[in-house]
Amino acid sequence: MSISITSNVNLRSAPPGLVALCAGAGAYLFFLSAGEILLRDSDSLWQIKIGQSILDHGAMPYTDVYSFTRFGEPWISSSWLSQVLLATVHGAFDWAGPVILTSLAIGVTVAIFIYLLDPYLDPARSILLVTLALLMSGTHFLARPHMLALPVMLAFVGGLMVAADHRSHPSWLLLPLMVLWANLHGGFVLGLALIGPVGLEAVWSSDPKHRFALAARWALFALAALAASCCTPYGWNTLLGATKILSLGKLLSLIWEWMPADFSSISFFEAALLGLIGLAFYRRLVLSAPRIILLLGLIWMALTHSRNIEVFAFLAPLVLAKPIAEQWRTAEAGVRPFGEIQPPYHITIIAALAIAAAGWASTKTFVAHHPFSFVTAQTPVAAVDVLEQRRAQRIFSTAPIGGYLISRDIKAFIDGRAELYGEKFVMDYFDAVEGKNVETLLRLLETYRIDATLLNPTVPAAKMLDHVAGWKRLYADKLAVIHVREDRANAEMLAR
Amino acid sequence: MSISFANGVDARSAARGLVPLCAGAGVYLFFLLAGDGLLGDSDSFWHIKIGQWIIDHRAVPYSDFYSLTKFGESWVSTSWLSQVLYAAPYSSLGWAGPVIMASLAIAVTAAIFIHLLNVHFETARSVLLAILALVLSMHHLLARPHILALPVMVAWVGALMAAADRRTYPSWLLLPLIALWSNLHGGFVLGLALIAPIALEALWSEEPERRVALAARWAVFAIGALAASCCTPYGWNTLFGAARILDLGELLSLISEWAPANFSSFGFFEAALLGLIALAFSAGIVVSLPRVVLVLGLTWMALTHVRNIEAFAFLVPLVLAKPLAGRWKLTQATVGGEIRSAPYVTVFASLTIVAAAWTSTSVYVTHHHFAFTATQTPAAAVDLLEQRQVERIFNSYQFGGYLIARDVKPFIDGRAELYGEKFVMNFFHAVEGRKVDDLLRMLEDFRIEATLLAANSPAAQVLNHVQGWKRLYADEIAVVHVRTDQPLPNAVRAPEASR
Repeated sequence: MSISITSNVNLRSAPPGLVALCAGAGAYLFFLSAGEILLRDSDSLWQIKIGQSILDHGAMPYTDVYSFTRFGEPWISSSWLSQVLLATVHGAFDWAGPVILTSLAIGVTVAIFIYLLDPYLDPARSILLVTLALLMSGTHFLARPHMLALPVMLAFVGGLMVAADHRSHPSWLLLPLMVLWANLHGGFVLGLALIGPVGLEAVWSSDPKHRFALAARWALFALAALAASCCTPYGWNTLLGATKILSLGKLLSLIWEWMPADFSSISFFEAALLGLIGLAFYRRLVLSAPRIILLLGLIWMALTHSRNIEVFAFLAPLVLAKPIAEQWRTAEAGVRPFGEIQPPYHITIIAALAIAAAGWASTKTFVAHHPFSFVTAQTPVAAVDVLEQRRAQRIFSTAPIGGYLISRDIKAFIDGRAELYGEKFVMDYFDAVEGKNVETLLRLLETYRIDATLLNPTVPAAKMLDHVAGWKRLYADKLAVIHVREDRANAEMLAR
Repeated sequence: MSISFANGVDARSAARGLVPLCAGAGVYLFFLLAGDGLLGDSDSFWHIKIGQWIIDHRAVPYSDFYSLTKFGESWVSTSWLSQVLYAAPYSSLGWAGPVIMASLAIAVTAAIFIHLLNVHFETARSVLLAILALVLSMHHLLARPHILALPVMVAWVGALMAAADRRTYPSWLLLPLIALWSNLHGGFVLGLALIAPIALEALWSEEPERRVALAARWAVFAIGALAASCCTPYGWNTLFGAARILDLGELLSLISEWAPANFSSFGFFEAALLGLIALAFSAGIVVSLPRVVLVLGLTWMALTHVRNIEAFAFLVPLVLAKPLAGRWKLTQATVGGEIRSAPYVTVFASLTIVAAAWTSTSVYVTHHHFAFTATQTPAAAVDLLEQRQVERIFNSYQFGGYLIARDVKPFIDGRAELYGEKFVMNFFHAVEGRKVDDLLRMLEDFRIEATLLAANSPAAQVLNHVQGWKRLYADEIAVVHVRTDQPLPNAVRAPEASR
């Protein structure tokens, strides 16, 4: 529906907002129809659980209540608002809810991206760029808080870049966005960090006479943004909590989304990186020093942690757009000739409403006949049923299964909240589960008085426990294997 | 000595060859002094062993005779000449021999590199780029065949690029170079692969009416190079042998030097990559499409396999030298009417540098004892295994080379192309503790009597807990496990008897 509207309207005379809206609607419908790819990470399960508990109790968590290894230790939820949003829609529509919400966030991101690029690039190039950005960051599109924060990130940083491009100071209207971001996801720290270099670009390119005043305005804005980011239920603890995860050090290289970019086989990110180098050498394009710093900073972030590839994908084009438009004169294609007939305002609004209505109708029909289901590898239903029957309390499992255990009201050994468990504990856990260190595995099982282990069959530790004295395999299916202590089983048999 | 000489002569009027020679001598002495760093990979052991065998038998190997598991299977040694070149000085000088050989190769590489860049840049920039290239490839500078091939690679690609820069075809005199390369190391395939894009660059900037003639010359040259690369004892099998190692697929990501570039902590390669991007966006240089393709190809190779970072480090500057020089107008240094030293002074200076380097070497080598890295030479553990006359040993990957040097047949060693993808993958999964079942099955299938594993290896810890095996010996380098059910005195015959 949305596609047919785009092709009927002559692009040249289309108002900028409408193209963006169409592209956003297209992206929304794509991710809605491919909704299962958003439900691949069991972190969604505990995020929803926490959101539910915030709704039920009307209070923020200050300590952990979901694990038996860190029970009662201080922990704050830096993405509480996202969790509440996800829990609300999950309560109302089951898994269709989070899928719709996440797809909507992606759609809005796409729309904002195209809207921001409109002054510099023609719609065709913008749409190509947005497709590339979606392909690059597709692996990290999951129904989790960072996706809800993505449009806010793009709007905030885009607002900063617009100010820099105009050699002026950012609008104060960006501050509520920062407040929203700080409540949605811990990634708002990036927004604070980018004020510096973007401000530098504005000051760098401005008239020397105005530099001092402009720098002062930017500094004031930075302070206000810092204050705005503390407008959360936790106050400035949110800021501390968000930086805590960045101090996990070596551990970050083991959690897949924090791993450095992988070049073992060609990926869209590698293609984009090589494409960027090729572009830089093939056509003359000179950037100012602050823009180069911004670009290198984004590339460095993406190389170091693959989860930042989405940041690179959506922000690097914003950094490059103005110089490209000025030096290659791509903007001329987009400049509207004089005397061109713009459609009347009310027609545009009706068209926008039509797109929204079409999106809404498509959603309703699709959701009605399509039940979304969570990826099965991380939800070993039958195995957990067995453990519940045996009333196992202290279960050693992998972190993804931990998320599922929380959703079943069983306290987890570990889950996705690495900042709660701390670097040493999670490192030990990885050594144990990946088979790097048998001694550590056995030590963890003893120290935490584990009743049973629940592991995926391909996990090295599951294979090891088959051979280690004192443990025996109780149950196995395609998704999970359960091992229990031998002596305990014997004791139970004798008791009967 | 060499440094004072460089300062004494005015760099501008110095004969062209002298600066590279001085830099080369400096690089040579540096790597000689830091020689133990070159002895960090146990592959050196089996390379020297095979080189020795070739010298002794005056023949090249066609099948494996060192391993326990692939004994007698067909295998060709694509770097036979390097192996001979390492083995010959090793027998007379000990480890100092390979160190001198490798340092010499690195020095020649640096000298050729600076000589090639001097055409476009002033000396200071060339030297800086050479140092950057050396720092980037530092992790892979080891006393192994690829180092001896490094100067040949730089010379070959440099000469091709020079031909492209002049819009002409390469000299036929380059063909012996690729023949030398294909005898030294399997990496000559890269040299063949680079002919096409460099030829494209030559054609790109050439006038249209001469393009066909030039393309024909390059095509003939490519065929000549292909033929020259088959001038080895193995003939065209060398080509297949070298291609075989690239077919190892998934396995390559497990062998450390074939792993993709890792950016978990900030390194020199990342700095160079970011620097390259910054350079492109700040200098505003425009590069022809074939050169862009070359730069991207080399970058892609380095991202995919860390061992290619050295190719990136030495070849990207050669590709970009001319466009950069054109942009920065750097070649104005050569003004007409300058005073040049008489040729005999230059020759005399060169001889002095060589003599100084030779003296330093002989003095240093007599009082310095080069030692191989301890973590890959489990001497005490192997002594024990020899005492017990154990023959069927399951060893960690990095101990294979040392076992060959001790005339013990290893389960596996660095020749991954001999063992094959499946075998090595299974081996890695077993040793890394990912698949305990596979580990135990391998130990049974190959009737292993003892395991010799690295002290921190997961498999060694697993065997502590597996029934039927017990720990016999452990130090900080290696752990030895033997079967518990085996009667101790005649450990050798026990498995045969039980079958």
